[in-house]
Amino acid sequence: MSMAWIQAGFFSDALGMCVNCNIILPMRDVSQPDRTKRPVLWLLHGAHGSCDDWLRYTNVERYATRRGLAVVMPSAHMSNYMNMAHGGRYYDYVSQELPDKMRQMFPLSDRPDKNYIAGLSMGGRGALMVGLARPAQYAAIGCFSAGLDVPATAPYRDEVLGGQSPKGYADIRASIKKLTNSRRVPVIYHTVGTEDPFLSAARKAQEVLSVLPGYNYHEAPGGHEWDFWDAAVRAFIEQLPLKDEPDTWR
Amino acid sequence: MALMHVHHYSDVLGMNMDMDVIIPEMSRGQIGQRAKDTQGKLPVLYLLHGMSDDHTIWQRRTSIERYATEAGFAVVMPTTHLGFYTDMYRGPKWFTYITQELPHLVPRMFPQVSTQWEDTYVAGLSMGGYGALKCTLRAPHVFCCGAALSAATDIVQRYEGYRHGEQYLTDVFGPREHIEGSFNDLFAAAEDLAGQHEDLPGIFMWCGTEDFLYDENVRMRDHLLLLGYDLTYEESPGDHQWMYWDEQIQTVLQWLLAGRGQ
Repeated sequence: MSMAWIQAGFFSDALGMCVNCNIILPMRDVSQPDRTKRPVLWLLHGAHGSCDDWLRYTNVERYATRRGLAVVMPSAHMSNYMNMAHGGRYYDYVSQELPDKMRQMFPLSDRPDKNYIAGLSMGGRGALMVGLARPAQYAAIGCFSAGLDVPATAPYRDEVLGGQSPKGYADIRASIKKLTNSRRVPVIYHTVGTEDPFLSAARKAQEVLSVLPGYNYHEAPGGHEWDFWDAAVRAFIEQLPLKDEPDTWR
Repeated sequence: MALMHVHHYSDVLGMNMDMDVIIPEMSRGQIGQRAKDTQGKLPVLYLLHGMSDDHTIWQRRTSIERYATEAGFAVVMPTTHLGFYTDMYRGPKWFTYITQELPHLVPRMFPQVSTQWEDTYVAGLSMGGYGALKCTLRAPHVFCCGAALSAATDIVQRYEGYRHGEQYLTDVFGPREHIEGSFNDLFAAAEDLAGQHEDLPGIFMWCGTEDFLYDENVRMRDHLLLLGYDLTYEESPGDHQWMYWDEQIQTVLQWLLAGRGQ
């Protein structure tokens, strides 16, 4: 198995502009027939970051290779993965248009049991928000170094929220309430470093999230930094409940 | 329109390779473009660069992305570096990579791309024109037709005063005295295929009348016509330059569309 790295540029109708996205795609021996749709990890960057971050600062490609996992890394700029009060409709882009487009262009599974979403910091909250608002779309969520709220100090907070508190899909607490008695909840892997400034936010989130079945919380030494996220994404990928049944395309 | 910079491992070459891929897509809001409403699988054009260039050059020197969107073609732009799209005498198996590995790999990576012979085309300029003709004549089961712009058609000619030196050409094609009539000789390739194939592939050629390769393009034209090929040959004032290739690749796409009855 080898991995192809694809730097894609395309037009987003949700955002009304061109966007960049990185894709890591497992490729099998070309002499063998292969009509397999790959399981997919949707991997989100943090504030001030971009679609290149995970590739540049971690070994995610190596970890994904071992499990035959495709990884899609979009850019969402400073949006918090929300439909911004003053800005683009990033939630629509990341949760709906991007999966639709990527599955059209690449051999990626659309089965909920083969789709996973994770991210760090702003992307960690984004992964929780998207995954819990659309629990039928993902089998697992990875939230690294984040809590449930958009931090008061978050850059562009007013542009994102417009002075309001998050509502609807963006209100993670409301999504959790809805899921409390649901049997179909994504597995959650939540981790934070003990030196991370968001440690207390993560601990508060833990109290709320622990009502959900399949919620796992970990603290480990480390700060708000890439050493920690490299280990986090590795642990997350190693624990993914990957199933073997093939998912094929024609 | 989507542009993909692809970095992938080639089993045939035993190394990582780069290529650019254009996938046409319908979008409502992108300004200044007309996208064709594509249905079903996408026809695919393998587009080959010339000497001194790489897989990015068609993007940089022409507006191929815009033309391909309007035509509704996926475009795959690979590279074989200075290797003439040839299984080298001393070096990598570039021809096998282009004609066997990529046509399998590309539709797997991009499931919208057709795997059908009648949807698979090849074109190129200069050294890539040589490559396109070679793919069309030596891998006619893969490519249904091909287009060559300002092509190097006579590799024996390349040995005359070649600036990279004869050693390099020997590494690519083998000893000079063995080239005539060999697998790498396009004139022989045209004869071999004409001798065994009832339906000869469609070929498009263009060359500028001031091009240093003009004479050998005329010779190839006459050779193909004599052998009964379905050749569309065009020439016009011009030399070996991108301003002509930018125009001519649009003609090639129109020619391909006409062949599809569109």
